[in-house]
Amino acid sequence: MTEKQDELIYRNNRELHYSFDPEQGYTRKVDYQYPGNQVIIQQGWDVVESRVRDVSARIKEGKLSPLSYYMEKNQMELPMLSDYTGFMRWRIKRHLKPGVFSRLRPATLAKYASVFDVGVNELLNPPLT
Amino acid sequence: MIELNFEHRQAGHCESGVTSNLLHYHKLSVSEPIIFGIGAGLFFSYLPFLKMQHAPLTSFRVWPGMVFDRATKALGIKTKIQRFKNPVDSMNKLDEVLALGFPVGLQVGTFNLPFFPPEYRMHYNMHNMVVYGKKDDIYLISDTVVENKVEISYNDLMRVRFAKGTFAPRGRMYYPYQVPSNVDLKPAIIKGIRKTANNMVEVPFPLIGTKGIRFLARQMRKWPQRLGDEKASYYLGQVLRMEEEIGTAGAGFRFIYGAFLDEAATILKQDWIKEVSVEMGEAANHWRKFSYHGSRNCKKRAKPEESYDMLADMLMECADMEEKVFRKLVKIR
Repeated sequence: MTEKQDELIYRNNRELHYSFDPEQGYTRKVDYQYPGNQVIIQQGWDVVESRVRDVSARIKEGKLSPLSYYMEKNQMELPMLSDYTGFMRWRIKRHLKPGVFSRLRPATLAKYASVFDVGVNELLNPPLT
Repeated sequence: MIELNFEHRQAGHCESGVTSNLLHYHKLSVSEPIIFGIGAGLFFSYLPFLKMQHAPLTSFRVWPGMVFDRATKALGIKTKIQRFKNPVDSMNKLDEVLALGFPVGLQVGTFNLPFFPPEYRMHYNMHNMVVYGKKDDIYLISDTVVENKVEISYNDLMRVRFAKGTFAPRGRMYYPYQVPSNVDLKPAIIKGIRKTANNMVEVPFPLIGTKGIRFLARQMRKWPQRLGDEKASYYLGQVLRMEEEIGTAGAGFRFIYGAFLDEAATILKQDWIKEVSVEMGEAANHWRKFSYHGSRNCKKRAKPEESYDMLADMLMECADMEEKVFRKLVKIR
């Protein structure tokens, strides 16, 4: 079912695939994900990227804090970030406001920085796209 | 330094593969499809009220952990399964068990898994892999998705074992410690098939089994009007990602289940199951066709007839084919 014009996007790892053919029965082979599937995987990442672009724009407008950038970049929503940081959800929600975020204590910033695996400086000045 | 003589074999589904490989280490050869079938791994559920990465949750298999639990129980294998509150405790325990000479299965999150292909590093907490040794601060890993054996550092391992979010692994580790050298697969297979068939056609709840597939199909028809093109395409993509992405062996586990039925027919010496396994394979190929046309839709390369209506029709056909398969299987004895 593959098409010639479909180029493989990902060639990092080959996996085991099962298939069925009425003549040969069930067979297994190790190969890259087939092209159609690679398209779907890429779609997932494209959506992540476009969400990052959206929040970047809103940060530049001063409507959101840099925290929102890292949440999108790391694909974390409130409940997950709350689990990782131990902060209550409503508190994190407040930190999405630029005014509140800019007044956070160093310890709070350090917690966010360690969860996102960046330095505090980088946390305050994200590489907006 | 510990390095157990563990054979790395790739697999289609991580948990079944890990289970099969762990048993193989204990000199019990049971194939991956058989484990998947005995563990009653096949399933379908569509839960629109649960969102994953901003789209409704579609699942093609049972909850994580169930395959290992059910399969080992059915085969009379003694196992130990543990979760932890404290990450350091979980690592100490892991070291202890390795020192006893047991390879250990771990449930981990994939987001920070360093050896994973980058395109797969989404937040997914139901991945399974085996630790089979330790050199200083480096753990030796056999991951059924990855081509070769790999390694991970102490800190990275602790991090992925305590990934947060839906289905957080909480350090879950599991290993068989007493494996009989000879097991009777027959009763286990029959029980497994009955369980799966029941789940797929007998449960009176609209969101699971073949009813769930039909429900999804009906919803899908409305996506373009209700959500707009972009979001509809993303929702569709999410269904396809759950169906085809890593750890399914293709077509939402339908191929691997068919392979199981094929093997089961031989073991049980019941020829009618062989015929059913062919029907299962045809259903799997239909799912594959669905995802092929679906992915063209996502790529915006769809021909006009590859619309959501057509995709929904295909889903309905998948549901019909599977219903036929499981109505037969439910009568197994």
